[in-house]
Amino acid sequence: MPMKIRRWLGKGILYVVLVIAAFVWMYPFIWMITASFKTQDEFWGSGLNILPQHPTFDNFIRSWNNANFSQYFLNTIIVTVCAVIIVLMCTSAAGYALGRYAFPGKKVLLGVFMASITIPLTFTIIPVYELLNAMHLTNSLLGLIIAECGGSHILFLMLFSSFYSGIPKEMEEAAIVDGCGFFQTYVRIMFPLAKPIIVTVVIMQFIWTWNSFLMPLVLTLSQPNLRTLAVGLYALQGEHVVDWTGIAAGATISVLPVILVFIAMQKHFVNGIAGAVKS
Amino acid sequence: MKKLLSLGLAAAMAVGLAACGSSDGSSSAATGENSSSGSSDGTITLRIMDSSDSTQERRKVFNEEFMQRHPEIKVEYTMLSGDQLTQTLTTAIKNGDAPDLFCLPGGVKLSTAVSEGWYQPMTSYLSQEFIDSFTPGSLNEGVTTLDGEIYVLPESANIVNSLVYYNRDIFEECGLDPDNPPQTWSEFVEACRIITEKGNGKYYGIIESGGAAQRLEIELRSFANIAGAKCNYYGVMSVVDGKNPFASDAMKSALDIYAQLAADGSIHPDSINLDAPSARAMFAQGQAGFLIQGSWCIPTWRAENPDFNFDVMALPVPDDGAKGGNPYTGAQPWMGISATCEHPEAAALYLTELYGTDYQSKIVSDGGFVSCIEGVNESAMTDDMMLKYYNLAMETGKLSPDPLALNPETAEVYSKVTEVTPNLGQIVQGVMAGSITDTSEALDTFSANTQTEWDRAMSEAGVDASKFEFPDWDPMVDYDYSK
Amino acid sequence: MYAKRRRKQFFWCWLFVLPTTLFYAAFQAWPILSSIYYSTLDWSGISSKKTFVGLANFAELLKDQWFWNAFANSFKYMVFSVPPLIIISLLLALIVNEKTLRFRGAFRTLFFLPVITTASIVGIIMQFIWSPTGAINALLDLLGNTRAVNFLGQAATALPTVAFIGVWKDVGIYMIYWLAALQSVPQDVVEAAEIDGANKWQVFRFITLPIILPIGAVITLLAIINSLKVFDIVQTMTGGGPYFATDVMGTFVYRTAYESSVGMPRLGYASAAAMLFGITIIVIGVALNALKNVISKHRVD
Repeated sequence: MPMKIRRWLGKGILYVVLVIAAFVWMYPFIWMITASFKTQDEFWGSGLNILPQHPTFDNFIRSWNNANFSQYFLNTIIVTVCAVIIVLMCTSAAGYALGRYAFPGKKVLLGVFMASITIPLTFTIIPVYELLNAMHLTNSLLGLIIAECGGSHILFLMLFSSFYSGIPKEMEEAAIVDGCGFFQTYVRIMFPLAKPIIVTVVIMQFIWTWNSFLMPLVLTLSQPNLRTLAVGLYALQGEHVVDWTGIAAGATISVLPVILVFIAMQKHFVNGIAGAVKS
Repeated sequence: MKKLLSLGLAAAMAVGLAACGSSDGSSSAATGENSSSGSSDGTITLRIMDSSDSTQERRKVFNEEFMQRHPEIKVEYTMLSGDQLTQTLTTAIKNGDAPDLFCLPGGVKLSTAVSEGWYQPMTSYLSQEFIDSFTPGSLNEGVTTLDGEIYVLPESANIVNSLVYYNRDIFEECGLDPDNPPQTWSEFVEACRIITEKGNGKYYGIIESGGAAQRLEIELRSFANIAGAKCNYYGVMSVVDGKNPFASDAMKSALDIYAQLAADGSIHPDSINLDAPSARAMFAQGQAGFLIQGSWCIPTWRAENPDFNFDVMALPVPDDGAKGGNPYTGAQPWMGISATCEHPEAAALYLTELYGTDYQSKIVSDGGFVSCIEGVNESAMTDDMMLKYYNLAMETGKLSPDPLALNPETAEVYSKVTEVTPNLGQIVQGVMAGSITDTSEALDTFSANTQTEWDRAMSEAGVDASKFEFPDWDPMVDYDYSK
Repeated sequence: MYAKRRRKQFFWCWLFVLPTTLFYAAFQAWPILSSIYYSTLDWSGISSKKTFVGLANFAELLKDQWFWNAFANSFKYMVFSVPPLIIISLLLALIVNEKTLRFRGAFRTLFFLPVITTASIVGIIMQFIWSPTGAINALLDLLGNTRAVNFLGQAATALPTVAFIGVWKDVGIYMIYWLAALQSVPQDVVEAAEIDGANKWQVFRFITLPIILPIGAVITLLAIINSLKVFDIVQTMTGGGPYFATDVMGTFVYRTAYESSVGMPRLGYASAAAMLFGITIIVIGVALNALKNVISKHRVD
């Protein structure tokens, strides 16, 4: 009985601590959301206060129109969904080959991959643009999707590769006995097992592409109708004039899909997959 | 899991299809798109890009009205600022994808842009009447014009953009006379000290945009020029007695104002990392007595802080009186027609209406904007604070000699010279943060490094330092460009 | 027969890595090769005028005290940010992975929110929080410290403060990575251990940790490299100030490539700085690896 009470008390304390920590941790986010209902004056005047004194919807209306949300929403979804799927397919397959097999050139490939991520490239837009231009892929959504897939995905690759390398040999031997080739073993047995990594890749790639700014801007220069939300929102931030509450409102709208995706995806982090691997 | 898998396979197929699509040379993807200009229905598309954030709202309305007046023209306008503008524009231009009308990115001189083939001459598309509507001194050889051909137009008339705003309510709370603001450096430093003391953490003497090195340099140069340093406006290379003016006593005494303000604790402690819009917003919240910025603040405060009781005054002068004016240069180059623009007549038409008195009057009456079109300011500038700013700016601001306009060959030096680190703005930041304690030594070092760099750039460009020196320049009066 | 199977396997392996390799070649390798080329140029990135200068940019960098300042700050930032980032995110992941925890989906989401909070808004609210008149100082005041600290405004505290904010912003990402890693811990083994009376720490120490260690090493390595390349949060919070106190390599390279108070920016020089920094990290990485091998060999002996 005392044991039970102690455990119950421990749990209680854990929840209290977690709730407080989570509240402090997410405070700036809440502030951003409620700031989108404030006036510019209140935005600066109310400091850390969350509740708007005179709630207004003007910011949403303004940023909706300014950032061309209605027009850019579909573009953003198309580009993001395609980029997520392509990146997932590519990094998973490559991670599988790198993690489970030895083949000529593997070490060199890994070495080059790892070496290249050490270079701080904050200015690589010129060569990327030139390349896509040479391929006649600028000013099209396809070019934008391809460019968004081209980010550095070393972490995804490494996550997949170390996950696949940890799966016991018996799994695929059973598949081979069933007559599965290399490709079928991967598609039927291995890929479905990698659920936790897939979830991670989907979440992170979704956020990156969704928020990507410079690439979509430069690549859609002649086709403003192909732009994405992040580009539209940028119009609120000038050198002399910054529409902070408009930015907050725009961010609030555009962050919703990201949260929905996160909530939907994180459910798949459920224990027991590895248990299935063992059996 | 099955769903994920089938989704994946579908995607793999889609990728395969897309790859096939692009291999036969068509670049169109998921959406239908039409080529940029001159599409089948006979309309012309004008793509326009600039960084005019303050007039953005008015411009959108103008664009809509323009398209209604000229249904055959479709305007696609993009506002970008700072680095993003430079990056986007230069990448696009290099790859033959330039907008039809675009502004010159910051730091790039017209001669560079023209020799790079960015712009086409526009004189032949403009009517003489239109060209004559600009105020004298708006269109200058070397700045907007090369060999008599106009390539770009100035956005607005340039006026001094560092006057001092002060909070009248704070003045009264601190026992200072809001109708009689400080005029000398000592009075100014003293007022800042009193306000800080009375504010007791609620407000401070002055708030600076310390994160914006450019703003700090503009202010420092203004203070120094008033003390007679002949250091000219931000970004201008100016030679005095054969060398750069940055180690002069006037310059040092100007930097010492910041050292003094910092030592007194009179600078709002958040200043170090603020950009200009944030400093302006916090000033309007009554967090500081003074703010040094340009006229663009006025319309923002009018719209967002209607109860804010502010006033504007001239930049304080040394205790023994001014030895120069608040420096500014003539109208700066802004927008031109791209060399690749296929419809220069349409572009010129857009410019003609953009500079028409109708639109110019609207943006002038909004405040913060000074038109370069004859007669507009006189009739449209109605806000009393804006008028006060304008009059103070004209009174205390003195036109300084711009080597580029007076000796166009100096453009070659500008294209060779590179920045010395830390630059003047960063030095001011260092002084404010307490990282630099010996202000005199900091300027001596900066001056010596600058001299080395300038000498190198000048000799590489084959342009003599005398082209940057104007012995007849009296900083107390407007420089006479007609000579 | 065996050789044929192997060859078939090699073929499949290469087919599997090919798409990633192609994307890599186009969007990582190609920009890097271009940057290597740029690093040998005196070029603004704006005009078409490029002068080949060989290794002159590198020679100049070696003498550039601001480059070395940024270099040192990048490593300081790494020291300040990586340990808390890894530890806090692992701890959070362990907690929100606990299947007895109610509302764990909600907790995961809440701790993830800083990741998706817009940068320009973060910049302003953090100013409110860390200002000498802000929330943290009010808290310190309650604890008896009456002298306000200007966390972001003075050289000594600015970098640790920015690193702390960086940790806050990124912990959610690393929590996700750890969560992914934790899913490979077999639950039946954990349950068996718990039935045998093992406490939480023992389960973590002897079951969980050994299993997630390989992925953990990758996560940590990536965290180190990402912290050395940090740009966004520093640019948002301080822009490298006050007076270069938080100027890391990312901000140094960006400023050099795009900003100039007089004349043109220097893309060539910026490229050289990025290269030199990347090469140094690689050399350090290789050296550490060699050292590790030597030590482990020594132990075996």
